Amino acid sequence: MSVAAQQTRLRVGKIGERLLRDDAIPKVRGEFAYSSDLSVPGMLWATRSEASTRTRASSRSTCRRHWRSRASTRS
Amino acid sequence: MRVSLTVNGAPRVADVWGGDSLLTMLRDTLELPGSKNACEQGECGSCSVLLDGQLVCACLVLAAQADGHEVVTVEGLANGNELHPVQATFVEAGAVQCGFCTPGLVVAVADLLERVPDPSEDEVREALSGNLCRCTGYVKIFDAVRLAQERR
Repeated sequence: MSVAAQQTRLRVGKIGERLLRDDAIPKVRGEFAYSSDLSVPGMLWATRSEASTRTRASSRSTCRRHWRSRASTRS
Repeated sequence: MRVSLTVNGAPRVADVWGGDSLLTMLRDTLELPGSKNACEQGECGSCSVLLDGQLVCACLVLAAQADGHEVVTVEGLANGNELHPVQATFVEAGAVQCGFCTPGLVVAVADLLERVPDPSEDEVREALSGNLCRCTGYVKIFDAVRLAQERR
């Protein structure tokens, strides 16, 4: 970005003035990717089980199998 | 199992496990991560979507229950580049901070103004009581609702 463009962007506002946030539009559209929205092939997921403090790392499919087995034993 | 449904106006088919929630199907199978997964027990409202026009927490509906039905998510509110009026007022009023609750709130407000075009302050608070926001203190969210209401 050129200096002139940056100066236009960073113009001085007033206290109480509403400014548009750059990330607001993708966020209201549901298009802003949070870390939990990211997925790449072979990506590992880590969850901390409630029963122990041991961290469990797994691929998404293993993770979901784990969740399924837990769900099926839930009373 | 196979689920056929309409999502944001388009017919979609998804192969899901019988225990998958509508939210899991939307996010992981149909690759629509706009609906957020936060509490996964119907308390936070971040996953709010419209199921046959009714506001639901997608985490509390089974994917299978949506078979043959119509779902609208936050991704389906805007008309191309043109924001839904509620999305526009959320941006203008500064009602978006971290934004994790925003998709659910936008869907909930759009639903409210569709059902009740001129809601009272109490009706707005009641309608949004199922959507938790940790950043804004709700003041700017209510400003956004009021602004959208005035523009209708």
